[in-house]
Amino acid sequence: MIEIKNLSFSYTEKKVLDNITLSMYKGKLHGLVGRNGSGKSTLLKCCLKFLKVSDDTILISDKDINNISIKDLSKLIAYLPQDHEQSFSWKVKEIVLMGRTPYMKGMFGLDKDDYNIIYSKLELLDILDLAEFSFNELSGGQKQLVMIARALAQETPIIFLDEPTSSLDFSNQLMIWRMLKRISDIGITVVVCTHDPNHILWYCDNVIAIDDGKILATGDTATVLNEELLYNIYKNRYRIETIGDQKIIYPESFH
Amino acid sequence: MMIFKNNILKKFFIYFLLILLFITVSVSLMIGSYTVSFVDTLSIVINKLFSFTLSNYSDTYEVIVWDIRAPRILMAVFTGIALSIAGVIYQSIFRNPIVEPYILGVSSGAAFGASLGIIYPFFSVGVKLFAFMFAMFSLIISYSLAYRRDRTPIVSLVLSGIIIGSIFTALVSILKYLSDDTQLREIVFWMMGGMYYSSWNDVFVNGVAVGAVFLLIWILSWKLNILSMGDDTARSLGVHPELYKAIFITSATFITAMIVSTVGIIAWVGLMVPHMARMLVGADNRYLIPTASLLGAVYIVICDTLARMVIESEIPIGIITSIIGAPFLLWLLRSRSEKVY
Repeated sequence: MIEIKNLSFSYTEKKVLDNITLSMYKGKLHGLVGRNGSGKSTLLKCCLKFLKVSDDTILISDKDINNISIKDLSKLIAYLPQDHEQSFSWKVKEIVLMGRTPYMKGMFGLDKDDYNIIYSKLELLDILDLAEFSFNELSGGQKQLVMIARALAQETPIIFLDEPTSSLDFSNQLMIWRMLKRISDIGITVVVCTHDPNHILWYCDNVIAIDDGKILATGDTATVLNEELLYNIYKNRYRIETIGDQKIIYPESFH
Repeated sequence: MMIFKNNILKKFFIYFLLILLFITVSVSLMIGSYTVSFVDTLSIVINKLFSFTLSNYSDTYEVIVWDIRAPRILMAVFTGIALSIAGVIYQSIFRNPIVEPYILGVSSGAAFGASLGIIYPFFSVGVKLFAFMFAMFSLIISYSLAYRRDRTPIVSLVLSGIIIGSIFTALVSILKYLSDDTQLREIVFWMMGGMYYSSWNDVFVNGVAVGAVFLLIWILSWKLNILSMGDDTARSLGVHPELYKAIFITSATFITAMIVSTVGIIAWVGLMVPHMARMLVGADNRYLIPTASLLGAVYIVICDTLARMVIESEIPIGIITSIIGAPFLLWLLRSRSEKVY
């Protein structure tokens, strides 16, 4: 779905991304993990054309992103930034409707079909009853679901999310991950930046570990995500233990 | 279907405002130091527009209604529309509900141009044109100061606007210092704003500009919705943030500069009216833009009518809009402190 070949990027002289090569696959849930400042967000921004990259370094369905207009790209990748606080009082359905922008025709260009699509996405995420609510009055978890509904309304084969669970309580974090799993199960490629390796272990099909702009490891979570990789990412020792049929990561020392 | 019903209501409200504006303008044409009857006013307007005599009226009434009141009232309408649209645009793009159309130093630039024109009339370009030129000039400098690597971050724009604004304000102070008493009075009066000098020519020029910008912005109103979500989101939805930011900010500043150079600096409208409109129809610019425009027009026509009626001589309208606007905003902030509009 997405092929990245020998991608390097720098804001100044220091390379933020250094010779990255990796693949992201259709219908898989990918966890992008790495320390703060490791280049995770920069990698997403390169794929979204927020940052300019060299020719033939990023291919989406075998097409160089430098040959894809931002309008066409918006039909391929939906993006959820970390911060989505609103200054104005939008209704939930208005926010989700914005996801239909790439398909707009004419002056106001939104028709009944667009409304039907957004309602089906709200339904998929079990939040249809929130449609008429004011976005600013929702809880953190609900807000995040609305933003995911907007990304779904874009009807793209790929969705990027930048730390979607960072400000949520424990149960909402897991709820969002279950939804993301549900979305990847319907064939959408999902790429999530996250700071919790347990989430990757529990939900992601694939892991992309990045440190100092370089790929540490990439591949199937079950085989790639091990204690050695965790040490390479965080420079601290962690253990992976199996409890029942579930694995869990915890620090070797709590001191 | 709740949405359908809601949007229908919003449309009805916009039609209601249109009727309200018509009534306000009509009443304003009739009242003032001399009250002209409804029949006479109607006859004058119909006679002037369609050269059809409905009934006889005195020539004095014709001068009052058609030559004095009509151009200033229409100018008030365009001022209200322009400042409100500009307010909506700036607030959406800056993602900040307390931004007003003068944020990029436009008013200070215009004030400097006007003062220059008043003190050095030998440039003979005229006060209005001077004011307009410097208003646009301040936009160009603010924008280019903030522009870095294909981006114009909002914080940089605000900062450069403040810088340009304060430089022009300082320059105005120098000009005030250099001016004689008559000139000083003229500068101060200009800066307080007023419709009194409005001519039919001003009405025509501003009407065309404001009308054209209104249409453009209304057509692009969905894009403005997207821009208010931030640059990254806009880009990921296929809307080029820099291109549209430039279109919106230039259009908003252009009409603000046109209006300010014709009627002076009128405060608070561009801040308050968008708030009021948002409380009524919500944040969706497709409805917000016509609602704010019409509300602004009604508000300025009422303020201008008060300006010429409250006391014997005329009060500059900028004073009235501030006296009503400031407490209103205070009330708004206190009563709505939990919700952000």
